[in-house]
Amino acid sequence: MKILAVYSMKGGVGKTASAVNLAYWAARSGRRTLLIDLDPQGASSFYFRIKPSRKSWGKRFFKAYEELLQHIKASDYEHLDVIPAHLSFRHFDVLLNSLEKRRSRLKKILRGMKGEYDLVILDCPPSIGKLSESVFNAADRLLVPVIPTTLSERTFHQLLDFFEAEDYSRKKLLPFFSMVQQQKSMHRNTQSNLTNGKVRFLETSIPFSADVENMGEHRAPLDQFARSKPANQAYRQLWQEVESRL
Amino acid sequence: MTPEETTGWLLNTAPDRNRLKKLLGKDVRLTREDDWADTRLLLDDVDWQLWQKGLTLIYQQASAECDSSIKGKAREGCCRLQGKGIKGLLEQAALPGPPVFWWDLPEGPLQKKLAGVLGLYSLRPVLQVEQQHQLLACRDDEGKILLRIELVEQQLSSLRCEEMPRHHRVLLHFHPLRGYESEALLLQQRLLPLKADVTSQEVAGLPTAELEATEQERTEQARTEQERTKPGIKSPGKKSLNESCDWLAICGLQPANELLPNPLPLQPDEAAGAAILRMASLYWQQARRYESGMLADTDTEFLHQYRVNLRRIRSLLSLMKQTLPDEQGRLLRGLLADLARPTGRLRDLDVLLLEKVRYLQMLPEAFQAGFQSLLRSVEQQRRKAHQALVAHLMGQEYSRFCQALEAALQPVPASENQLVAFHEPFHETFHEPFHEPLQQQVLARMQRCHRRVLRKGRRITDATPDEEVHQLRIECKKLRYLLDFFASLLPDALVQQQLRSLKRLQGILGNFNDFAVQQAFLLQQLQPDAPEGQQAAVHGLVALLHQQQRQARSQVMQALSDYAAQPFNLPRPFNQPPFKQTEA
Ligand SMILES: Nc1ncnc2c1ncn2[C@@H]1O[C@H](COP(=O)(O)OP(=O)(O)OP(=O)(O)O)[C@@H](O)[C@H]1O
Ligand SMILES: [Mg+2]
Repeated sequence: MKILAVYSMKGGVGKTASAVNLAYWAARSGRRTLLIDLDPQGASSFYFRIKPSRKSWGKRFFKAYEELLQHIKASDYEHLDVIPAHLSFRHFDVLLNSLEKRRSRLKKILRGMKGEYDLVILDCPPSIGKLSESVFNAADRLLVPVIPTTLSERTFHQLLDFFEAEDYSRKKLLPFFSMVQQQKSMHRNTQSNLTNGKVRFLETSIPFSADVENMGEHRAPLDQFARSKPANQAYRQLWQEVESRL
Repeated sequence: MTPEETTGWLLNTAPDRNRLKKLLGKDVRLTREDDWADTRLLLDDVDWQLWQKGLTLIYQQASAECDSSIKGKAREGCCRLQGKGIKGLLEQAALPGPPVFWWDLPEGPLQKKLAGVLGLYSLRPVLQVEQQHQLLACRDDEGKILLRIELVEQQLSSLRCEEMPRHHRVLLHFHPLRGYESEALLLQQRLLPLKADVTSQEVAGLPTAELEATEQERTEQARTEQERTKPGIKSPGKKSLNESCDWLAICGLQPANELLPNPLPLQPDEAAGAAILRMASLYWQQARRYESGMLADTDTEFLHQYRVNLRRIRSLLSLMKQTLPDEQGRLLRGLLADLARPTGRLRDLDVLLLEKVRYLQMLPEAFQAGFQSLLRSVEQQRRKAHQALVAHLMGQEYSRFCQALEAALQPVPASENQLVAFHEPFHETFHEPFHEPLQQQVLARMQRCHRRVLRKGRRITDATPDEEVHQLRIECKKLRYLLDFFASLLPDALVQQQLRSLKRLQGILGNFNDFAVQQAFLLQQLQPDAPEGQQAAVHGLVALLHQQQRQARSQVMQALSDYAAQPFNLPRPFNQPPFKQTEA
């Protein structure tokens, strides 16, 4: 079982859009996939029409694994299950923080899923504070959407620095370009700047596309309503590339 | 998840969309997800060995449509085995057609399992199920699927009879989704009126819970409903019993009736003669089941099992010789020999060909070509031998033998002398042992037989001539037959223990004999003018077999003393015969 986190410190860069479409393609490729919506806003649950769970989460974190199992919901697609967002994920942070060995805690909990799933995808909220370290620890790969702008470049470098300072393996990082508008020259420049850096960006980038925006209306992965569109093909290709790097 | 695995209901008729919508309620949206058709075959061998082991093997015919876990992954043909001792199911996809032998399947867990059960038996389709599926989704107000339901219209037909009557039925399967168990239960309950055997009570108690109720409320409601409507509803996700049991029943197939009960049910105090004749008749009926497969040359087991059953009758009659009047016994034994004789040649050739792979493995490279050429001539002879057997089975003489045998197996009326007088040709005089209690005779016979095994065994040393070892083997075989035939008259523990300890001894004695027979038969295949390569190969094999025979011989002493150490305590016979007219 592999754990893939879709992560960025910046908001609105396409994390959720990526998590949803990659989870869909992973399941289509036959991997038993679990998407965990860590964002209390519940955007990826929304795309799969799964209502946020009303069941209350237990307070006792040592039972977290059993708790987690009870919140699993099958999506409408074969091999794809979802743990929908829950308001109390806000407290995830606090909870993890209060535990010893909090860094490895999330990893341990998720490892419990290895009999049932081949892939766990974490859709992270933009600011997760202390939780982020648990995520860095748990994830085999961190998929980082980067919009090719100077600001995004800075954010990504901050992440690299943090990884260096805290001794996380840089090999975990899989950055890719998201919401790319080739006609903008700044996009092109940043893209080449970053590619020259220490970490190699994935070959595939996701174009800026109205179809992605329309996911909110269709409440389904792109392949269900925009099968032949470039954005759908891009996500499919992105999955194949990620799969080869898992 | 294949349809065989999910819970399902039998419906009276196929409901239309409107009826379904109405039953499901306003808070549920019904959407059509898929339609497809498929055809499945239930496979088993002539002796229902899979059925006997509680297993079902289903072949799903190739269909481009069938490519998901709900539809079955059968873009190409697909076999699934499930049942006793198998967790989930064993599946083998991408098959060009229904397998006939286990070795038609690619290597894997399914092949391995089937090899163990089927041996040399061939599979054949027992019945066919044509299915028309409709997959529907029940969705909530946001369009999320809560439960998938699958309507299946089935046409079943037995492939065992010529006219193939079709049986029609409609099933409703539920495909629950993880995390939506209580919703599934609720929707199942709303659909309850569709169920064929639903009671009015069940309908009256229909649930009122709403989908929007809190999860806790719903779960609770569902639980109480479930309790009330038991056994009408099963919680989703739980596997129902294997559907294919129903398939057999619907098609009027009853494996149990085709097979002999094991052990044969016998009464300790029934008249021995009548019992023996009844047993012989049953074995004869079994033997005849294999005729069609012998004619069609489906697999080697048909002939083998035919001969096994003839041999059973012969052994039964000669072991219990004194029970029947001499004349009747003699006539029966003669007829059985006449029936068995024309089958011997083909069986011998089958055995040689079945040993082919082992022989080829035994022979060094240089002899293989020679042996292959011998095999070709053996195969040719086998074809001829099969033709001869077909001619025999189709001939008039064969049906006359059969009639004569069946007539000779008729039991004679009981002890009244005047009736006996009518019953020509065997009963001019009253044959007393015929009317004695069965168990008494059997126990006496077994006691004698066991003593003989021990006595002959004691006389055997490493220097004893082979002929005496063969005699011992035959005595063991007799004891083994007695245990098999009359197990129901003996304590279970004794039968189990004896079968176990005889098995090893018989194994060694059997090998010792088989290696001798094989040497003789191989030499016999060698024409005087056979090419040198063949001569060399056969002589090489004979030398190796001789070595193996000597090795088996060297194990006889140990096996004998192990066997002799086993207790043999027969029960007290039922020794009050119901009648005894004269003191002989
Ligand atoms: N490739 C794209 N082209 C056009 N619009 C996009 C693209 N990817 C995402 N969007 C839109 O941008 C918005 C933010 O996307 P998304 O929710 O995927 O980002 P996010 O990183 O998960 O945001 P947050 O940090 O709030 O969780 C959404 O409205 C989405 O429809
Ligand atoms: Mg998001």
